[in-house]
Amino acid sequence: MMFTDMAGIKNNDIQVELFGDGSGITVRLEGSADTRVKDAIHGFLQKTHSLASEQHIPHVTIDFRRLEFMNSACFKAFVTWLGTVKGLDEGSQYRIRFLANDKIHWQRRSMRALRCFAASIVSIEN
Amino acid sequence: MAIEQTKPVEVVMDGTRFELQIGLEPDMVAVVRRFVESLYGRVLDPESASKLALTAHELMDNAVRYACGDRVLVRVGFGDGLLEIHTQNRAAPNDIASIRVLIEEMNSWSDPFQYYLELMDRTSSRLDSSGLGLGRIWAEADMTLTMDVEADIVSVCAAMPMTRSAA
Repeated sequence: MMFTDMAGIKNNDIQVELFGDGSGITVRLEGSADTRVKDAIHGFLQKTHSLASEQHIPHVTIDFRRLEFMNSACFKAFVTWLGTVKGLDEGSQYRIRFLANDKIHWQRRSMRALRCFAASIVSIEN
Repeated sequence: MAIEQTKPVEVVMDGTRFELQIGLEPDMVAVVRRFVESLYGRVLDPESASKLALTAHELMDNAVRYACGDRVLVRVGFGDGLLEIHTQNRAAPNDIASIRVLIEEMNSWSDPFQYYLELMDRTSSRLDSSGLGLGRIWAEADMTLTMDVEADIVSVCAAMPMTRSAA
């Protein structure tokens, strides 16, 4: 089963798309995520969570490698999502892997924070 | 210092110190962030320029969001061995009080990263950001925060010890 029905986000500054199948989902963000798209990203992550939970997807990959910047409002959307997954029964949790770009300096610091916040479910790859 | 009502964007530059006033358009915040990172990337190491840019974005986000009136002043420069960024805007009394509570709480913690994790935990189930941006400035950008209030004008300053690198 391929997940292609979920509409992504696309505007002048950011593009977010989801793809995957029953073995895993990837969410790719490209551009700059700031206040103008925080509600859209929050909603997108809610739908991702619903999809992963309902379809019993074992892991979700978040690809930040082309994300130039993310402000705290959008960062909070990820914090909320991780908090939701952390709060599930262990059998219902899924793993979240972040793909980060070492050349984008804010990512090193922010990814460390996300990993420490949800160490049981988050891994980071550079 | 009064905030003057002037042109949509007014910039004063002196070497690597600049001051500008922007309108309350959210898309201007990203424009100024990129400008800060580009300009200060020429005199700072890339990591420090990135921290300064992140701080600029977070401070301006807050200022634009909570400002009364139509203008936010942003000032960046070196002074007394510190790299400082200031925002200044008019704000409502309850918003000024909220910022004061956040900064005072932050200053009561000794470990910025532990404070940041506590904030993340606290705000993960809430709809508002509730200080996460200020916590990020301290924990991720290594900048200390202070504020000053004069009547209804609030100034927030983020600073870090800095020496200029060779260009």
